[in-house]
Amino acid sequence: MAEAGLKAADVGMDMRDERPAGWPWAGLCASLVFHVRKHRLGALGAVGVVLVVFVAIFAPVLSRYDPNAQDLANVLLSPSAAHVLGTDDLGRDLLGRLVFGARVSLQAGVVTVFFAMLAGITLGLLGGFVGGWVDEVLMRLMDAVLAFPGLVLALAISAALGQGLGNAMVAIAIVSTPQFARLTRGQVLAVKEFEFVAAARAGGASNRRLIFLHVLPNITSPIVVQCVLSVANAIIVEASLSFLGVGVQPPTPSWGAMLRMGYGYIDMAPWLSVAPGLAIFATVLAFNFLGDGVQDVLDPRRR
Amino acid sequence: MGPFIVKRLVSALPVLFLVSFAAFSLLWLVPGDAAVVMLGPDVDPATVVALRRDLGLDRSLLAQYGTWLGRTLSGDFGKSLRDNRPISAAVGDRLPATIELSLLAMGIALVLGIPAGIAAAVRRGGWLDLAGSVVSLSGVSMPSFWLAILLIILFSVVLGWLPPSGYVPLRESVAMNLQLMIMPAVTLGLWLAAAVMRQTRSSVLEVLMLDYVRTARAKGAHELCVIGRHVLKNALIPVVTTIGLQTGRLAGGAVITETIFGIPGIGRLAMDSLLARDFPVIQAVVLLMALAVLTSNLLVDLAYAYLDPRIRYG
Repeated sequence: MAEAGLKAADVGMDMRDERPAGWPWAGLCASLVFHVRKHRLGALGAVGVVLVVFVAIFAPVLSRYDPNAQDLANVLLSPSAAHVLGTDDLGRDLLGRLVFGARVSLQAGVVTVFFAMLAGITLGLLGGFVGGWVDEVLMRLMDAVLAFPGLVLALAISAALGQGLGNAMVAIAIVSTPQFARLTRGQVLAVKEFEFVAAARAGGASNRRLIFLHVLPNITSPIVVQCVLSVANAIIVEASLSFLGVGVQPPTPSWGAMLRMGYGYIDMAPWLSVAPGLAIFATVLAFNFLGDGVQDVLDPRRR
Repeated sequence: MGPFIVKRLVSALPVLFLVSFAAFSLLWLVPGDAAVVMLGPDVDPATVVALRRDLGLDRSLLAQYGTWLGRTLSGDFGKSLRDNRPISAAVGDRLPATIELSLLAMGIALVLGIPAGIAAAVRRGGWLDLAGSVVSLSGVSMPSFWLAILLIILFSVVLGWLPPSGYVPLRESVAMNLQLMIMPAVTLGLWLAAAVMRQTRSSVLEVLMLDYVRTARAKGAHELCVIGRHVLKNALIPVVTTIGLQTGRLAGGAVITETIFGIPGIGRLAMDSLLARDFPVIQAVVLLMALAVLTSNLLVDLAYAYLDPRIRYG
C-alpha cells in the first residue's frame, strides 16, 4: 500500500513538472491522481466509470446482436448460451440492448451536467462577482427552481415539451443548474475576499483576468466534486423519466425503458427487471464512489 | 425571534411569486397549440376553441397569470380536464395516502439511519465504517423503482408473502393497510435512511472532537453515556434538519413509489395527469409540492434560528 502510494506520489510530481509553467490546475490534477489511488472506494468508482465509458464506446464490438433487431419467434427467452441475459418481449437480445443502453445513460449524465455546469458557473460568477440586485434576482430564481422536487419538475417539463431523450435532457439540465450556481456563487464570495485577489485587482487586473486566472482556479475543487455527483443524479433522473414513460422512447435502448418493459413481465420473466436495474445501480454507485473519493481528496478536513 | 420570522417570511415572498409563475408557465412550454395537445388531434375545432377560452389561452400571458393566481389564492385550482372534478377535491382525497407513506418512510429512515450512523462514527476508519460507507452510498445510488421491483419479485412473486400492489385506507383495515404499505414505505425510506446515516456519521464525528466530550470522558463517564447523553443531543440537530430538507426528494420518490404500488396519492395523481397532459392538475400539483418544500425549508430555518441565536442575530 505504502509502495503504491509512493509511486502515485512520484507520478503526481512528474505530472506537475510536465505541465506548462503557470497552468493553474496542475497541482490539483497531481494531488487528485495521488489521492484517488489511495482512496479505495474512490479508486473502485474510477475503475467502474472507466468500464462503463469503455462499454459505451465499444458497444458495437461488444454486442453480438443488433440491439433493435426483433426476433418474434424467440420472445422472453430465459438466459442461455445464445442470449446470455435472455430476450425481451420482441425477441431482442437483452445483453445487446444493455450494452447500447450505456450510451444513452452516459450521454444523459455527462451532456446534461456539462450544460448545467456551464450555465450554473456563469450565473454563479455573475451573482457572486457583480453582487447587488443582479445577485439578488439570480439567486431568487435559483431558489425558485430548487423549490420544485427535481424529478417532478423534470417530469413536468418533459411532459410539456414532449417525450424524448432531447427534451428529457433539457429538463435534467434545468433541474441541475441551481446547484452549480449556488455553489459557484458561495465560493466566489469567499475567494474574492482573499488578499491575492485584492492584490491582483490593485495591480490593475481586468475583471476577466481576475475571474479566469485568480477566482476560477481556486473554486475548481468543489465544482469537480459536484460534477461527478451530478452525473450520478442525472443518470438516475433520466432512468426514472424513461421508466415512467416520458424519457427515451422505443426502440432506442435505455436502461430505464428496459426496466419498464421488464416490469410488465415481472411474473413470467423476472430476470428482465434485474439486469437493467443492476446496470443503473452499478453505474450510479461508481460515480458516487468516485465523487466521494474526490471529495475526500480535495477537502483536507475529510482526509 | 419575532423580527427574524418576519424577515424570513418577507424574503420568501419573491420566491413564492417566482414558483407560482413557473408552475403556471408549464402550459406555455407546450410547443404549438396547448389546447390541441391536451385534447388530441382528432377533436372538432369548436371544442378546441372552447377549451382555449376556458383556460384563457386566447389572452395575454400576464392576464392569464393574474386570473390563475387570483383563483389559486382563493383555493380554487380549477377543474380536471379528464373527469371535470374540482382539483382541490381530488388533492384532498389523495393527500392522506401520501402523508401516511411519507411518515412511514421517515420512521424507517430514522430507525435504520441513526443507529447505523452512530456505529460508523464510533468505529471510524474500521470495517464497520467502511461497510457503512458502502451500504449508505449503495442506498443513495439505488434507483427507487428498481428497489421496488426487486421487493415485488422477492416478497410477492417468489415468497408470496405480500400483495404486489393496491391500497386499503387506514380507517378501513389497519392490518391490510400496513401489509400493502410496507413495501412502498421501505422503497421510499431506504434512500432517506442512507442520507440520515451519512449525516449522523458526520455530525457525530464533529461533536466527538469537541472539548466537552473530552471533559466528559476525562471525568470517567462510560462511553455509552458519553454518546447517549452528551454527543447525540447536539449531533442529532443537523440530522433532523436533513430530514426536514428531504421533502422534495420524498415528493419525487412518491411519484415513482405510488405509481408502481398503485397507491392513490398525490404522486400518482401527478403521474396520471402528466401522462394524460391534464395541465390544470399538473400546475396545481407541481405548485403544491413546491409550496410543501418551501414550507418545510422555512420551518427548518426557524427551528435552527430558535436553537442557535447566532443565526437570528447574524
